[in-house]
Formats: sequence, C-alpha cells, structure tokens
Amino acid sequence: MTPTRRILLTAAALAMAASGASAQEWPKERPIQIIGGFPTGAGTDIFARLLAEPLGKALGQTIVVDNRSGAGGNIGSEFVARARPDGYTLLIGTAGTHAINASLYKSLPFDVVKDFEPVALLVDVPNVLIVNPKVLPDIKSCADLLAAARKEPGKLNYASTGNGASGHLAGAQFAQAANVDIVHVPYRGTPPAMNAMMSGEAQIMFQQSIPIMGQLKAGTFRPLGITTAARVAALPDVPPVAEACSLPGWESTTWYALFAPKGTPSEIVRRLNEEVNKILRDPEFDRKVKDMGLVPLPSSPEEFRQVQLRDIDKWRDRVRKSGAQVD
Amino acid sequence: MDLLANLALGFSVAVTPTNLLFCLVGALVGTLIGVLPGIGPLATISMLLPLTYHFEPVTALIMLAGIYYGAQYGGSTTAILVNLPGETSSVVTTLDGHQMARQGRAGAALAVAALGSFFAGSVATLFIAVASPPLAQLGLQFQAPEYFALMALGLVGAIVLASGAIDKAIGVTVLGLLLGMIGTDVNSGTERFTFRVPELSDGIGFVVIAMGLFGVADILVNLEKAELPRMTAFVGRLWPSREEFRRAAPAAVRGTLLGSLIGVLPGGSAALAAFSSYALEKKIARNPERFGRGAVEGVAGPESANNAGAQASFIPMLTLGIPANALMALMMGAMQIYGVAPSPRFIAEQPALFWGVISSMWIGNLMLLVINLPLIGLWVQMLRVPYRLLHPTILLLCCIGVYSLNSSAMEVVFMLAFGVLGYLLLKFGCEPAPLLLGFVLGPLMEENLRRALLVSRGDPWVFLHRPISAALLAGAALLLVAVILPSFRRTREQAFQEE
Repeated sequence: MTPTRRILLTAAALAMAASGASAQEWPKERPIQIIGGFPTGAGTDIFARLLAEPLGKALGQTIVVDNRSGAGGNIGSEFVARARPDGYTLLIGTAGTHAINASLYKSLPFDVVKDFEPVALLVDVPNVLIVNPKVLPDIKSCADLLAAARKEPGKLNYASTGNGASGHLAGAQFAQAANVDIVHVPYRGTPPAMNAMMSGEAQIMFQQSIPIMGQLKAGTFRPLGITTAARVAALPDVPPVAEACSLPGWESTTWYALFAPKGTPSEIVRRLNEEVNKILRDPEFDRKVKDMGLVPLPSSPEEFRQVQLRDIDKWRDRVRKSGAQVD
Repeated sequence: MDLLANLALGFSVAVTPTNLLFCLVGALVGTLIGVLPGIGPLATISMLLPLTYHFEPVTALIMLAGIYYGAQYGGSTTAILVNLPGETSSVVTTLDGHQMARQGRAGAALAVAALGSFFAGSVATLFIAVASPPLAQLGLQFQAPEYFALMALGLVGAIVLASGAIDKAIGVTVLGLLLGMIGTDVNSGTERFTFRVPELSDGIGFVVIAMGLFGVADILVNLEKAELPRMTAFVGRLWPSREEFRRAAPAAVRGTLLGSLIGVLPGGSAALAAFSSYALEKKIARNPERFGRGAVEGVAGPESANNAGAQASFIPMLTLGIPANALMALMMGAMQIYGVAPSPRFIAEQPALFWGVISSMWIGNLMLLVINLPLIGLWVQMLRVPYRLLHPTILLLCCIGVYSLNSSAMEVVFMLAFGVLGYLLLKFGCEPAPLLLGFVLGPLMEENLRRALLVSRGDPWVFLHRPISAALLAGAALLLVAVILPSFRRTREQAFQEE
C-alpha cells in the first residue's frame, strides 16, 4: 500500500466517522440547500420550490433553493458532485443533466453515476407534441401531420428550447422513427420558442407540459400526442405519440429527481427518500403536480438508480442518431 | 363603457385593505432592492415566492408586480448619486444623471426620475388596460427577420449613443459584439471563446459587465485623483427648475411611448427601452453635445422608458401566456402554482384577477411617488458620505450583488476584470455605454439572422419582403446616413476654413 493511498483511506475513514456523527444530528445544524442547474423560473426551479416547502416542514429545517445555472445544468451538477456529503446539499437533477448530458457532451468534469447518490425520483415530465391550429387548421391528428410532412418534405419547422434540449431530441427521434423530413429550429429557452409557435415561424414543437397547460386549455395550441407511454391525468384526451402516430413503443420523457453527493450517509438518503415519497403521495400535492401535467414517481433509491442507468443507455443511442453534440 | 366597468372592477379588488397593504410592501421592497446594486427583482421575487403560496393569487401578484416596478424607481437612485446602476435598466441614467449630481443638481435629477417614472407608470397602466390584446398581436408580427432588423437599428443607435469620436464608438461597439460571442452558439450548440471555463459556457452576464464597466471603473478613476472633490458643496437645490421641467416633460412622454412599445415585444426589456430612449433623445436634441454632461432629457427619457417597459412586459404574459423575459417566466411559474395559468383566455376567465393587478399598478406607482419624493432629501445626504467610506461600501455591494446572481465567485472576478477594462476605456476617452449595447444586441442579431435564413431556407430577400423588417432596416440606413453626414460636413467645413 502506497503512502498516498494510506492517507486517502485514513481520510475516508475519518470522513465517514464525521459524517456518521452528523447523520444523527442531521438536519438540525443548518438549512438544507437544493441546488438547481437551470435558471430561476425554469421547470426545475418551480418544482424545487414547490417541494421545498412541505419537505422543509417534514424535516423541521428550512430548505433553500439555489440555482447555479449554465452549461445545460452541468455547473449545478458539478457543484453538488464536489459538495460535502453531509445531507445539507442536494441537487434537483433531470434526465437531461444525469442521462442525456453524459452522451451529449464530449467530456464532463464529473461522473453522472459515480459522483452521486440517487435519493428519490420525483416526477415524469412529458413533452407534448403541439401545433398551432391558426397556422395549420387542417392538421387535427398526428396522422394528418405525418401526411403533410410526407407531402412536402423539408417544409415544416419544429421549434425547440435549445440544442440538445429534450424537445429537440424528441423531435429528432420522432422524425427518424416516422421517417419524415422536418427542420429543427432552436431557440434560446421556452419564451422565444413559444412565441415562434404562436406567430407561425415554427409549426411543430415538442414542449414540456409545465408552461403550456394554460395554452392547451385555451385551445391556442392543439396537442396531437404526449411523449409518455400512457395518457396523463391532466390531459386525458391526448393520446400517447406511440398510439396517435402509429409508432409502437415510441416514448420520450424526462424526469426530475433528487441527488446527493457521493458518500452521503445512507440513513440520510433513506430518510429523505421516505419524506419525499410521502409528499408525492399527499393528495393535495399530487393534485398540484398533476395540474402541471406531471406524473409523480414515488420509488426507492435503488429503483431510481436502475431507471437512471437504463436511461443513460437509451439516450446515448438517441443522441447519436439525432447527431446533436456539444463540445 | 366596458373599460370603465373593467377598471371599476379592478379598483374594487385593488383597494381592499389586504391588497393595498401588500401593494405597499411590494413597492417598498422593490425600492430597497432597486437601490442596492446587483440584488435584482428576479432574485428577490424567487426568494419571496414560497411566502406567497398562502396568499390569494391576486394579492400575491400585486405584491410581486410591485417589487418589479418598484425596483425600476429605486435603481435610478444610486445611478444618479454614485454612478452605480442599481438595476441594469438604470445604466444609461448614470450618463447624465450622475453628471447632474456632480453639478449640484442631484435633487433635481432624482425628482425628474421619480416624476418621469410616475408619469410612465400611469400611462403604461392605462395602455395595458386599453390596448393589451391588439398590442400583444403586434408582438406576434415579429419573427426572426423583424428581430434582426430591430437589432440592426439598435446597433446603429449604439453608435449614436456615444458622445465623442465616432471611430472610438464603433471600436467599443465592436468590442461589445465580440464579448457577446462568448458562450454556446444557439444554432449549432458549439462553444465559442469559452477556453473550457464552464462559467463562460452561457456567456458573460449583462450585470457582471455593467457593474464592472460603470461601478468599479468609476471608483478606479476617482481613486487616482489625489484630492477628491467633496460633494457637500454641490448638493444644491432639491427641486428641478422651470427650465429643467420644460426640457424633461416632452422627453418623458417620448420615453413612455417608446418604453411601452418595446416592453410589449417578447425579448424586449426595461433595459432595452431605456437605451433606445436615450439614443432617441440624443438624436433629436438641438444641441446633442449637452448629453453626457448633465442633460435633464437624458434622465427623464430613459427613466420613463424603463418604467413603462417594465409594466408593458406584463402584456404578452397576461394576454398570450408568453413570458417576455426571465422575470415574467418566474411570475408565470408562480401563477401556475396558484392554479391560474396565463393563456389567451386569461382576461375572460379571470377578469377580477387581471383588472385587479392592472389597477394596483397605478396605485403602486402613486405610492412610489409619495415614498420617493420626500426621500430625495435623505438620499442626497448620501453624497456627504466621504469617499473613503463610500467606495469600499459600493465595491462590497457590487461583489455581493454579482455573487447573488449565480452564487459564482468566478463572476465576481469577471466583474473586477471589467472594472479594469472600463478604467482603460475611460483613460483612452472611450464611452463604455455602446459596448454594453453591442454586447446585448450582437448575439440576438446573429441568432435571428441565422434563424431567419434557416426558416427561409437560405433566401436573403426575406428581410426586404416582409414590410416591418424592411421598414426597420430602412430606418437603420437613414440613421446611419444621418450620423455620417454631419461628420462629413464638419470635415468639409474644416477643409474650407483651411483654404
């Protein structure tokens, strides 16, 4: 055993002893921070703030949501990967930050699996395939859309909230599976992309459900399909894309989830997981979440890890086929 | 009359004791964070959001809106007094507002800013009430070619913005364009000039540059003066003179109109409105050389424009369900949690909520005027604080403010580096304001140029076939000619004199 190695092991043992002590005290010492990797007002931020209140009450400790946005969520992830594993720093990660980015970015300064403890899966975030009925009045179903796209290849545009965003990948995955030629037009975030859909600059979009629930109710956008495998409670009339577009087995969703830095004591992870699941099963919280078009996913840390590993493989394949890449 | 009935409904909602109280709370908090540099309404609203979950939606929105437009009032205070923009939208207020303070007209500048803001706030409220739906439709006429043309017009305006040599203005604008290129390219996803620094992957923040170039650079310039002039002697009369009123009033009207129009555009912001108003005032002034030396129009116009812009940016969110900027996205998220998601049918479905919030905006603006006018005397006392205390305090507030944006120490370092750059620019006699405009407009212009060509499948004529885009480009060309001609004329006149 080399001296460095011995020092490292001693340090690790000490760290474990220290964290063991803090695990009993946790979470009395100081407020817990949930780090988000996206800007204030983004879906992760809205959801983290919604969760922070009941979770703080259940744990008897204040929870602060702190967004360190940038680089597709990687800045926030890196911060948490390097944070002290004492249960006071958590991350609201997504399938984007912890599955897609692993293949989208050529290199990441952390490992999305090895540097994190999975705490709890939170919600499934569907994308909704939408068109603007004022721009495309004749397209009433996904079959109509496919027919129009096949009639005039390369004519229709699909908007996304950015290169490599889940809506971009869903669009690329859709175009490939249905074998249609539609052109990707990326925007800088949700507001300009929605504006393009309203003005008709882009005609098709896979958009996360949260910001468009009001629009769908008002009929501004026509939902042709939802990217989940089954229908969701808030949009009972919208069929899954697999069914609506006759693409059996097609699905493309992302999730939000809670991660902790690697080495966070297992008692803390368990406790957090239990409290989160209790909140997800609370009828009042459940209603709020479903109103945003989300699907609550109570599960154990182990089940969550399996989902993450499965999705890393799945998205690697999709990212490769879409041709998206970020240096 | 529908409008009167609607406003009556709105006021009946807005004047309940609870709503009045929270309107006042919002306006006060907004003024406070507006005065503190860097701590913007976005951070404040996101921190206060959980508190509002237990309020009625209308009460919560009234308070949050109050914070937003209150911050526009407060932001001008530090801009005028200590050359430090409290909010990004107050950057141009430093140009003439601070000069007025140095000439002993700090009280007048503050009063003009407050009165201009109140006027703009009142008009913008009425504007939202009368013209929301048609205005929102106007916003939808804007696609990539129109945005490109608008940015081209703005960029030419950036050069007009500068006082002094035009070659320096162009140089500084180009530097701003280059700085704007840093970050991830929207169209291809490729990182440019980031040197593998993750903090650069989304580009440099506007606030970081603005605080460095204006706040920090100003302190550096002051430090090298062996004997600092004590401002005490210059406090002067607190109220604007009749002459100042005469110059300020029309500028405030123009600023209000411009601000309302720009605020409606998705992506338009209070900051852009203020910049445009300053450029306009300078262009139409009889003696533009007064600008940058304490012209009262340079305070009245932009201050009215930023307040009108802040309020008008509610229009696309409330009428179309499209947030115009990050702050509106946050508000929309909050509304979703309250269970009142905005959409095109929002006004019809939630009339009490919509008109209540609109009416509260006018009440809030009145409250702000009542709060701010008596405070002017107090604020001006800040000028009596000696520099050895004032400078470290400002520097500290800047650091805290920048750090609070993304909790990033790297960005504080960037801000200090821009402070040094700003110092060098001032030493070389270059105005830093066009740099900032180039920095904001450049990336938008490139993004929309490429998007327009992508959507038109490579046809460059798209910019001229679309009427709004063609008109804006023609405006840019005219402005360019107008800028170049006088300087030609001057050179020619000089040449003639030498003969």
